[in-house]
Amino acid sequence: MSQTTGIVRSAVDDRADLDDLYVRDMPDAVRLAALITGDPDMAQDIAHDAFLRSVGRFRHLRQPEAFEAYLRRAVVNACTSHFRRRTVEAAYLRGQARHPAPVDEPDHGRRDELRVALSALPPRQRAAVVLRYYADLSEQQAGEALGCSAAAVRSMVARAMQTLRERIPRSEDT
Amino acid sequence: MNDLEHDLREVLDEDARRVPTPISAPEGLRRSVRRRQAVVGGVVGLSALAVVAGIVAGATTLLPVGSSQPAGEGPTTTGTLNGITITYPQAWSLIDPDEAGLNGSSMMAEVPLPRIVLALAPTDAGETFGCPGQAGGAATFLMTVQEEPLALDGPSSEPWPVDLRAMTVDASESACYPGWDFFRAGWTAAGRTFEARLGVDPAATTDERDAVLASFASMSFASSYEGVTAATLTTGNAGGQEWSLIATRQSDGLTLSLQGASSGSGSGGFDRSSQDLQVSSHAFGDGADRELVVYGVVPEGAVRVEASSADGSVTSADVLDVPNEIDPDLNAFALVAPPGSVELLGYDASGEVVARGTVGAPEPAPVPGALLEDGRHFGYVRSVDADARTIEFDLAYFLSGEEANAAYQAAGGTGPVPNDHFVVNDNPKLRTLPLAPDVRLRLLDWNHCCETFFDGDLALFGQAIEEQGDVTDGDLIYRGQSQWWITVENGSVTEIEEQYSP
Repeated sequence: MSQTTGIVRSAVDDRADLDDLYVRDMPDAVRLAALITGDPDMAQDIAHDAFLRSVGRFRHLRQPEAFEAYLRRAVVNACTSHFRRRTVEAAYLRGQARHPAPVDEPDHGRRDELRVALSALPPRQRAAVVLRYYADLSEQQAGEALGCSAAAVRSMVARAMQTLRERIPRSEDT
Repeated sequence: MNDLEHDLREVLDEDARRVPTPISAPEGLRRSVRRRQAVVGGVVGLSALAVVAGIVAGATTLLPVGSSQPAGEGPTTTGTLNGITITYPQAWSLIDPDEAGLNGSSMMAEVPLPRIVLALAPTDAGETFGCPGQAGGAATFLMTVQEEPLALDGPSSEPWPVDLRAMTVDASESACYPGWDFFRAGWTAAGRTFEARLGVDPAATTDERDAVLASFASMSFASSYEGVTAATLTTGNAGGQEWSLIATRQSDGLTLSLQGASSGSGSGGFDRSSQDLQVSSHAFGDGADRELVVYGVVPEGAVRVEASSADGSVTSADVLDVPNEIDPDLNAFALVAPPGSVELLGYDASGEVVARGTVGAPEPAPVPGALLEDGRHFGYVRSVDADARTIEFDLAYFLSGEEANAAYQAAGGTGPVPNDHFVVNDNPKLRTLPLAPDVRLRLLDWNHCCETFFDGDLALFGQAIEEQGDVTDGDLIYRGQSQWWITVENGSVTEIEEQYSP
């Protein structure tokens, strides 16, 4: 650990720093939350809350430079908690909302099928896929965000990809 | 990358671009932060008082009290947090780091170590505690003690008691710690390893300084109820960076993590029945300073691991004992080697080889007389071995303009060469070339011909070459009979690009 950090430095010492931090890290946090939850509006609330929570504790962290990773973890944690809180009824309604388009509507093709299949993945598998294929994190980094080992990330992503392959047949097969 | 991964990335990127994101911080952001901290601070104050009150009532009968007593005016009290007993001036606050949120969210606290286990401050209000420099002079110091993985090696394995040593910290610009002095110490006691950090305001009185140093010296330690959950097996230096190899007991078994100052890696999920060395590696440093730390687990019986690198150098290291509380069966090793492919042998006590392993990116395989010099070369890919990551390449010459006309006419053609290019391939020699670990396969998108490329999949490319025909993957077409440009760097093929031919 750098000796210039430790308990001494705070990136939120004044208003300007706090704003800079918000502008720098919030867009990624909102996008991450949106991709995991599939709900852009909810993502704004989740990311904002995660930011406030992270900044509040950031002052005490021994590695202030780790804020980005810490915020990412807070977002992922909040997203998976969000799913846990949902009732069966809400989950049912969400599933209805994401049901594949009726046949008489325009066919948006493979990518829309992929979106539907992606949204149907279990939350942590979906989060693992987003962290690996959108955020381009290593298995180790994704594990840190998800609070599990790199091997567990590898396993979750493999299961998710298998599910997606089963649900999204190759074009020549359709 | 296959088609599904490709589509997945594009869908996620596309969806991410559609998400409205904030372009400025909202009004009241700082107020929101303060409000949240005030809530936390209230909890800290109340809980700290409760902890202290509870401990004062039972300390003398339940826990031994150290002989050192803090100096300074006023009565002292003794408290215990997370197995650390400390005597300090009664007016000060012993703060439970978990309740104060010092270890992050509850999910973060599930990560056992490192974890802040004690904080001592003269004040207990939330924001004051977070930013002593803005607390109107009341907060004159802050001490935190963090529990680390058990240090079996390195400076933190030093037994308690230890002295606090000055840290070189430039806090002159910090609004929270203006001009403060900082100290640190690392030690091991009762089978646990700790690191303390202490910051002291220049306005602190001599009595306060003496009191906080005496409080530090008064600490005594109890063993952890959980036993050893993490241990630093060894430390070293590679590529100019200090590193530590840490073994952690997790729900799915032993995990090894290699931690450097700016990067690291980890591995877990080890096969307990394997008779091989299960190996990982991580590179530190750049250029000529670059070095590889090779680490992993060994099967039963192995006591030493020897590494042979592609440059002919050999290094060895004794097997590291993983504490039984972390894993009773597996032991580990770590050594530093030059970058590139490393062959490993595990020896038993009698010097017999009992395990083998390999790790690291392969260095360019020398094939005398058959390699190509660095640069871009034209020709035909005759075969692909995706497992060995090699191609057989038939070098040819792609001529254009006057060169093409001359070669065309020398070969019996008349007039200008059609399509303004001519391929000369009169040497049948095939060259086996290694593929770089990150070789890029740029194939023409024949649906959007002919300046658009996609990144192809090596296995499908190999299939097309083997079949000498077209292999399709969705809309993408792999043509086995195309012509190719390869880029060679340091003896390895770093890129294969398809040449358009009508």
